[in-house]
Amino acid sequence: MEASRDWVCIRLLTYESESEYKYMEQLLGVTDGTLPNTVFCLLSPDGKTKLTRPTRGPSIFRTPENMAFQMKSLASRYKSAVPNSFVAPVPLVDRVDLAMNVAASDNRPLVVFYHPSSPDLKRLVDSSKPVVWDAELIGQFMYAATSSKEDLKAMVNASGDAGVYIVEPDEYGVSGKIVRHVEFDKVAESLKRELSRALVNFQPFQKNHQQHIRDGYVFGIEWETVVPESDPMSVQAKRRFKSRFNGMD
Amino acid sequence: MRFGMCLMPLLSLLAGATQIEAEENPAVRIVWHANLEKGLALARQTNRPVFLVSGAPACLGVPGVW
Repeated sequence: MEASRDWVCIRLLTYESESEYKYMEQLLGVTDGTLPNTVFCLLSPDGKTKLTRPTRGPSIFRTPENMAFQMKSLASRYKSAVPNSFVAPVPLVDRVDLAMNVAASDNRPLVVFYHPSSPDLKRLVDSSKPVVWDAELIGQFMYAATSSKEDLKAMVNASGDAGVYIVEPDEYGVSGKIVRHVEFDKVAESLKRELSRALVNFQPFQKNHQQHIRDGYVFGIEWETVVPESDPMSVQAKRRFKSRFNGMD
Repeated sequence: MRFGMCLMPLLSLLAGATQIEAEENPAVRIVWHANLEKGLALARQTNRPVFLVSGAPACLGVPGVW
């Protein structure tokens, strides 16, 4: 985790963007429409030069310790081009519903920036950057931003007031409970305090992978991807599981 | 039944874990950028290398798990 701080860590969501899907297909060099659901590659800062062979996962490193060592060593080749005072943008997931799912998958709380005016929303997000990257809060939350009130529907009892909503997703990330709301004009003074409090109170779920999937089928919870899933093993496993599950009725 | 095709093996290596458990809260965590264009722009701007992974936040179509 510590070694990751010298890197820009990008985690794409495999079937949620057509353009990113195409990029990953080209990166892996697979036939059109056959992208597996995981991809791994280390790249130079230009985003073009490959520092490792693109694969489905980082197993080439064999152990987390070796991976951290190699990452430190590779990162030392590059000198930072920004001053220490530089603050990176807020790492937003592109859609609120997707961010809720990612937050549930990571077992983390979600922060949703909302303002009906796009310029004000941008101001809100930008002004929150120092808090998002604060040493005590870094990496603890998922983030999304929206100017559409519709996007707040999955958040139970959302008032629709502009500001920052701190949300605990349900186990499946299809809805969430608002645990705190910071009003638009109180963000500067209150956001850090409210995020810290939300973090202290947050209780991650204890999830059992197989039980989670079985229960998901029982509850009829299914995720529809933007691009149809194309990992042959995964597609086959899903078909098999569905037919087996339906046969249990 | 096979679940091996999901992102769990990758995440396990990153976290040094072998099973799904609620992590320590808070623990040190990776900051993930979820948008390719913005992530690559940040890498160019800062001259930091890119750690790129991809995964689907659903397993066998069920969300809320990698």
